[in-house]
Amino acid sequence: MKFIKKNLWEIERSPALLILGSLLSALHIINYFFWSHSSSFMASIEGPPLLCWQFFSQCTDFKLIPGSFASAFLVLYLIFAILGALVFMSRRFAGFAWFCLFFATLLKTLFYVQDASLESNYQNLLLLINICFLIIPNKSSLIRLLVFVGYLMMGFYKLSPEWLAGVTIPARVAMPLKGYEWLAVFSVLIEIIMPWLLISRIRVRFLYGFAALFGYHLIQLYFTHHFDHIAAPTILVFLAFEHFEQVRKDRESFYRSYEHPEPSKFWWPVAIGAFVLAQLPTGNETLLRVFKIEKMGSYSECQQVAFVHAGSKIEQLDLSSDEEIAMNLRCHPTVAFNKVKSLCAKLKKEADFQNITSFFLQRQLAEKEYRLVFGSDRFCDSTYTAENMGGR
Amino acid sequence: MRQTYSPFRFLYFPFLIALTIACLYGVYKNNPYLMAQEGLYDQLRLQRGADLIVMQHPRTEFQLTEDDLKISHAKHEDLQRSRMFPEELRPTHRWALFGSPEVAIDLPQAEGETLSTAIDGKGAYFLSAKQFVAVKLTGETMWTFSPPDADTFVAGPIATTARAVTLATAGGRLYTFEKSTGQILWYAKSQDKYLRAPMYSKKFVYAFAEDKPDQTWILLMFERESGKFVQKIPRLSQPLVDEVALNSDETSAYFTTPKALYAIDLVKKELNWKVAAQPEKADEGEENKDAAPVKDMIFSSGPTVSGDRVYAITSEGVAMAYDGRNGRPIWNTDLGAQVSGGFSALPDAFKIYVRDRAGYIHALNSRTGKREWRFNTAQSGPFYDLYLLRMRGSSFADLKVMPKTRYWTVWTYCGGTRLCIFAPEDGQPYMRTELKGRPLSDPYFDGEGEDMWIASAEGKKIQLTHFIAEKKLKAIREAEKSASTETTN
Repeated sequence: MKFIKKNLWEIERSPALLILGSLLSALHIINYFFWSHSSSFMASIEGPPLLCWQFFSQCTDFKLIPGSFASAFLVLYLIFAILGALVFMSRRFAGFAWFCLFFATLLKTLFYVQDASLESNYQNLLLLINICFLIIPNKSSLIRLLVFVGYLMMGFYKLSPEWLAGVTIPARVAMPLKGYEWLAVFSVLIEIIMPWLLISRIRVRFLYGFAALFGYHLIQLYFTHHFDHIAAPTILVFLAFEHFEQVRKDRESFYRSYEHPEPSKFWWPVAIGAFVLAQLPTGNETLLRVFKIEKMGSYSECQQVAFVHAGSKIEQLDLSSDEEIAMNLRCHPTVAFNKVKSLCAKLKKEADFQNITSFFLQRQLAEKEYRLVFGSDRFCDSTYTAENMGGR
Repeated sequence: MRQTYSPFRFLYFPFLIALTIACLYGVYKNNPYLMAQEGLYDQLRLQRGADLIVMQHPRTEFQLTEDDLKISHAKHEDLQRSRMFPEELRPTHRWALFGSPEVAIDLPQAEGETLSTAIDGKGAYFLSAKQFVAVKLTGETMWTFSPPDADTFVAGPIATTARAVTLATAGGRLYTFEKSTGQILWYAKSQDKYLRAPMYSKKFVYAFAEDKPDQTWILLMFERESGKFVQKIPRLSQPLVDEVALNSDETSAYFTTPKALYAIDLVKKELNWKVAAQPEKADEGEENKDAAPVKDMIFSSGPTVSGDRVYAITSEGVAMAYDGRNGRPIWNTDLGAQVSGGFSALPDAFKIYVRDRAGYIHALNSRTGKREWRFNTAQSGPFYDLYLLRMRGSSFADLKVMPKTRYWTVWTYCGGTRLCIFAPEDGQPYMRTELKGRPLSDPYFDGEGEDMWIASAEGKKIQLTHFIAEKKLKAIREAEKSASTETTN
């Protein structure tokens, strides 16, 4: 409890952190509505998840939240988030608000770990910010640093032909492909250059960085209608409050004659260390994977074919892309694998059914040829599992 | 309040400028077409190979072995080399066996009109536009396959090896199945292609494809074992007429379009030579009184390759011979008959054979182009195959004729539903036998040549007729008789 009290003390004494608590809770509320309207998430909330994390490959067999309770837990998640958002406005009830945010974050983590199809870089970063806000002292500096490093990594990952070709930018506005190419270039410049202004203590520089990134996310939100571009400017709002609070503190400290109590500076390097460890390629098999910034939105083409053998009849199945599944998952090998496995379960009930032969090929934009990701003529055998093709 | 200035403060903007330059360099390295009119996406798409997706079987036990790759169906070139009938399968039956077919099985039919048929030791194969059916020689269905959606199989000979069968669809799909089980070995899909019937060579599978956007034709080559796409070669503005012919070392491919005969260098991947579908003045050979007058003509069949020579015939019946190496005309002859099919060449007899629409078999001297004999089969029609088959010496024993030309024979269909066999050198009829209906396939010989199967169609009914050699039949009858005697006792 002493540990929690220390964290609460830090939150209570900083208006910016109280605002951040409220903003993070508000983001949970928004996240709830995004998930509720995401058919792929809702389809799998009670059934098997679309994707498993590599560190939790048994996600289809072992459910962190039982299917029958999933909807109830999702409502509970919303209630905790609403309470957190309201109560964090009052310094007096910050303790209660902390617990509300804690449970909302816990529930979100359970859903998130259960189904890897929910993953995005911003979600990973947001989860880490939530955890840092709740339990890591010296929160303001830590979160600013995480945001700075996060932007830089995402910016550098965008220096790839797939991103710079502009084809991965969701085309909600009709524009020639050349226009998207230039948009991609500006996004790289903004994500790599502007964070350096964001960490400046000089007001004008900070405001330039803030305005550029805030505007950038609003434009992205207009194009994509994606949760990520609500989450990012929300965190930027906190950074603005934090910046002005820090300036005020610096000014006040000039006149202050006594030693001011400071939060522990021991834990934030540990948190940063964990974040760095998560970025290593070897971190995929640990829970740290959920904090990894990845090369997202890469352009991928895929081809899948399946032949059903039933008696003497061989039939080629139509495996055209499922419109219900989010664009970034349509070419995901595990989703494709699970699709055929579910067909196996369905067809096994029919007389004469023998097996399914299926191949899945994929190529990135810069790749000339397709690569075989998986393929088998004994697809429905219990011995042929996702491990045969290499999991996520 | 006095502000302190860090020395790094002055490096802030130079650092940002340097970072911006580095970023722009990174952008340029990844997208060198940023300032160009063409987009990076289009450039990357252009750099890709043929828009073909090949899915091969990942399990090694399903990879084809050398034995699997023996050709069991081939065109004339293979027949001449006895590749179709290796030593152990060379027919040894006696002619009397054709007098009465022993077994006639009604076969399960493919949906719709049968386009092609093939028979081998593992079964009989029937292809219609919507279905492929593989049946055992006993008549039992092994497996069936239909292309998905509105796609249809393309007409043409069924390409098979000892173990695999390859089928093409109009929608650009190419399937290779294991013949006896129907297990898919490899599958290729092309986005914007119209494929023609595929063909096996020693190493590759060849398929002509129409490039839909610009309506040109390309020759696609796949590895036989894996289906791996090898290359595509020149574009043709005219559709392909018939199958591709290869020379013996598979360094050149020859094919016809309605207007021209093409030779492609498969090594250099370029057009070697091209000649129009009308006779030119021959450079060598004897003066030919049948030489064709120059007029507009079209090819309606593919070329035939024999040694260094390429033979082609127009639908107006003008036969032409060219030097396969450079396209130099050697001779031309006007047969004075409409022709649908191509030549069959028999180098051992220096002859080439063709059957015209009126039902005449023409045998030409392959060196001079002179017609040496002609035979009326009394069976007119657009297209009936003519096969050259090499027999064992013992097969001629009961015929009381002296076999010539190293036991080669000419087979074709005649007089309605008959199968006729001729001597290649002078057209002397050796024998004929009755079939129930119109013959559909090449004859297939099994074992020591004592068994022969042939598919025929009587109206819509398809039958597989099994001929058994007299000697073997006698043994079977005796065995049956002794078995029944034992049962009675």
